[in-house]
Amino acid sequence: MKKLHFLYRTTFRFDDPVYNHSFALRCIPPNNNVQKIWIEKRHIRPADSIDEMMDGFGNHRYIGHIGGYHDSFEYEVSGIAWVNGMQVVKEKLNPIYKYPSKYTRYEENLIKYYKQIKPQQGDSMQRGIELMHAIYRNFVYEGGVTDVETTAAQALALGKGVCQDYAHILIALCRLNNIPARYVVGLMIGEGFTHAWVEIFVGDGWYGLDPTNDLLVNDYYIKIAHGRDYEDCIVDKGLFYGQTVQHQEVYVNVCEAE
Amino acid sequence: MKSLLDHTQEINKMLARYGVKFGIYKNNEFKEQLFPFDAIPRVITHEEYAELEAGLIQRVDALNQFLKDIYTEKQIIKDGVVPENFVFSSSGYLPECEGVIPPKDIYSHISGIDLVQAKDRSWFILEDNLRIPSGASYPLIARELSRRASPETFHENAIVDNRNYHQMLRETMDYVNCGGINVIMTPGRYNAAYFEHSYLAEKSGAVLAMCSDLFVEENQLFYRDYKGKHQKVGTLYRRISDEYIDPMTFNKESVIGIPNLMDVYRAGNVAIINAPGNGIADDKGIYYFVPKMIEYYLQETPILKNAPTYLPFYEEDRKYVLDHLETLVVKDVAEAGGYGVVFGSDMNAGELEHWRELIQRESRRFIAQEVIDFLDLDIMEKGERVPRKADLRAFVLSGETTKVWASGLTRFSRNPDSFVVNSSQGGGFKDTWVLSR
Repeated sequence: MKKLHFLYRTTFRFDDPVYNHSFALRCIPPNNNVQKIWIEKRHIRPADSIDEMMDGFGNHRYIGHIGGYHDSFEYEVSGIAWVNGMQVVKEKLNPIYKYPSKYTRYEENLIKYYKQIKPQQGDSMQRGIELMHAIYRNFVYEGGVTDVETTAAQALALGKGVCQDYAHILIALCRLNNIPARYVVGLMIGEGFTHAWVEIFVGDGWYGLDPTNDLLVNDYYIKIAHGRDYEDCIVDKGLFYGQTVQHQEVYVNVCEAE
Repeated sequence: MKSLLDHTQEINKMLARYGVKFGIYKNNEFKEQLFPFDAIPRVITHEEYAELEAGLIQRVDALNQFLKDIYTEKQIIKDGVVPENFVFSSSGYLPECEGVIPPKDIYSHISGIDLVQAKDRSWFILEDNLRIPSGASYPLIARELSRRASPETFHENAIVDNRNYHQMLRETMDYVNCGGINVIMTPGRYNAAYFEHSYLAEKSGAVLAMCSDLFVEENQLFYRDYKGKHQKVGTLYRRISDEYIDPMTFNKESVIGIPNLMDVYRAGNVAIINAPGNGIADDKGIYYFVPKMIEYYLQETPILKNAPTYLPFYEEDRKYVLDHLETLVVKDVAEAGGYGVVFGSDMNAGELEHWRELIQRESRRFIAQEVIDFLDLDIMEKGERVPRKADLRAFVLSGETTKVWASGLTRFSRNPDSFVVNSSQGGGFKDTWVLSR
């Protein structure tokens, strides 16, 4: 078990002020047997009203509204996480994680690739890990070549991308191999941005696989949200009025606490 | 009756003046066209109606139970009645609605059930519309105008008065109301059914609003009136589809939705008519299972029949479909409004081959049905009575109890060779009379 200190902050600046701004944020890590979370600080500002809700996938969400003009918006969460990463998260399986979703549709190139690397034997865990190894070998990490709209099949055709693309491809391959799989967004040890990985359903619960690093998810990962793919667990969504240019800055810091 | 027919032209002129039009997008251009009214009514006898009514109530009750089951326990899947694949790979299933139980457990408040009558006068269900079925306003206003044009017709015949639709609608909205006003939300005047939105709002006493009049605060939905005053909304009868209602939960490009509406709904602070996620129950693939649902949930024998339907997903059915394609009608489960419907009898050898291949490759995507020998209805064309294909959309409203509106929208095809009667495909409509004795 590790004790991690985490800080997650996103700041938006608007060149010209905006108004009538609605937001929805997934920024609070859930409490479960793998991670015990203590929130030290949380702020969302400005905000006229903030409410807490759960979404249909079981993730925590803040929703709120800002009526008047403002030229920045920021949310920050920090706290301590006690993580036991290799444990299973026991849950009833929702069958939606067995079927293709928007970002993980089975296009021809994906099916063709799957047939080449299809694991011949082993249980779901072993086959999932083998699929992860295959992607790690055949896919190149490169920023800026894909974006938030890129699907698993498109990224695979490019042969390169970022953690989101690694995760989408692994999810599609696992589902093709009859292993239920879901997308996870969260934080990883170090400084930088949010990270994305995969959970696969084996036996009676979920285990984490990080295809970007070819690792089983361990005590250095803090999960924030999960869903069928990227779209179900977007960390922040906003809708406002005004003509402006928006600048976004994300800061994540996770380190071992004393 | 003759005096009614003589007034056809005047009634159509009045309908045009009231704005009874259908907006259609063709080649990216918005065109409005009239929805032609034919004055010869469809007549449903007292006995026929009794059976229809019982059958429709039974069907809608089972569909409502199915929706609750799918978004909560999923018992019907566990019991092997409906295959899991048919539910979770359907675009109509919305995982965002998992675990949400709407006020009073009602998912489909207004159901539009499409039927056809065969030559032997037996009824067949063609499809269930449980999302935002439109069309009730057309027979409603046509009856109003017909009564004005020819009062004696309605004096001489024992016809059930159908001018109570807006009362039924209001009772339904009131019954599920979570405290606040009733609102009918329209995407605006360029929507195909804008006439209906405004007419129903006026008749039922609900407020007609656009998304910019509505907003979420403190996890409640509010309406901003013309004075800027905020009123809490208890029932939202939205006339836009699920994917656009909340850009923060569904399609983020939507500019006709209300940000964070889904959270208000999930918290039980507003009733949404019809409930989001209903698309799973009117999926053309799920249609096949509705008679089984009636047996499963109600332990009753289905009163109304489905059209004979084959699911290529099942091997036995697939074989039948491939062998008999030239006599069947094939429907794409993801399409609506008369789109994605092809008749084997219209296909040449090459097309038949193409469709056989497609059906084998994407067996989950299609259903195939026997073409029903419709009972044609007469319409007046250039002063003559000519037979045309027609269907009936019955409206079933679920509130404290489930009720059938004793009327409905009868649509007909103006093309003598066509079976497709959808208004978006250029058809016309008739009044539907239910005889009171």
